[in-house]
Amino acid sequence: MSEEYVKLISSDGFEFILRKDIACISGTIKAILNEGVFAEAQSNECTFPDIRGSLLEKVCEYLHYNYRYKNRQDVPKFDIPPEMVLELLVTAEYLDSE
Amino acid sequence: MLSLKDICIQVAQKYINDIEDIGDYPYALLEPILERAPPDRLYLLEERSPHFRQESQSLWKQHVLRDFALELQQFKVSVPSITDWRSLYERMKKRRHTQYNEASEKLRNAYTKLEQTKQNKRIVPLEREPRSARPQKRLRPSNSYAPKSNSAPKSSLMTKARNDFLKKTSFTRPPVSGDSKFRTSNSPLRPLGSSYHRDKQPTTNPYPMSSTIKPPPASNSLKPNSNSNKSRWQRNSTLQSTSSIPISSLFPKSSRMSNQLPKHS
Repeated sequence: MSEEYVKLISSDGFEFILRKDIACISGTIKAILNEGVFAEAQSNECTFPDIRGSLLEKVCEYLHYNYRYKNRQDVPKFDIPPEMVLELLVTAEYLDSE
Repeated sequence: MLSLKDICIQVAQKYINDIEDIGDYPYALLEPILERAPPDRLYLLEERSPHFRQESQSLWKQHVLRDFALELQQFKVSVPSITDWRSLYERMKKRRHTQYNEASEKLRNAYTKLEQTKQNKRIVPLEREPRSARPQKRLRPSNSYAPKSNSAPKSSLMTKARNDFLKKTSFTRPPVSGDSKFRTSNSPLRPLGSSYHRDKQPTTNPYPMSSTIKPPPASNSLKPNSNSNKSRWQRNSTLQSTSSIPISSLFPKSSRMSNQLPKHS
């Protein structure tokens, strides 16, 4: 698989560049990027006007965690600070990150 | 591998007691977290986000069944017939609270009563001895001529001496009546200077000096708890003064007496 990189942009202007296959663990992101019609599909950029930078960063962290430890036994704990847990929950629901 | 959503739910459940507000988030999403919330916290969150009050009835049902199972049995309420579990929980909670307060009030009253009865029966150390327990004080005639001897050891010594004297002289003394004035001319052995008059003003008194000596009223001088030595003296008490003068005249050492009283052969 080619090492394609996509850019995820938060509401407050933070840009996160990550591999496409990792990004597409999130069903929503995958759908956005693969729809050929929208502008995102060409530029491989995805903007989220509702998601803050700190939340998006945590999402990216999780995507890599998921990619790394999938189907393994010795999985370390994924820490979430309590302050953002509710927002992250809603975000996760929206992004449908399996 | 847990999804991010599941991890978030787990963490949120752990910190449920710190969650102050859930805002506009959909109830379905938050239900697993709210299940873990204690009734107080659930009530608070509902206050702040009223939109899911209707939907939380199932949660309240859980709380009622858990906390007030006994009361439900008592009232024989059928579970299916209840629709508004939330207000039911409120009512039951209040009822329990008042019951608790009443019970504690009763207990408190009972305890204070008990304490009071105990207090009444308690032994309290007094600062002074009560009247009956004080050592018997001797009364003296109130005049300036007579020296006041009032210490307890002294008076016991004097009383002892007096008693001895009385014992010795009792057989020579004329019979005594309760309220008669003892006439001074009758007894040759009458102690010097004594005024056996009961009244404060002696009538026939050959001892002009002793007239200034005022015997106290005899009845007041007696104390109820007297020892056996005094008993005889007390019988004659109405006629005698309690002053130390008659007795002390026997002792040549007490010069004070000898100075005051004229010698009588």
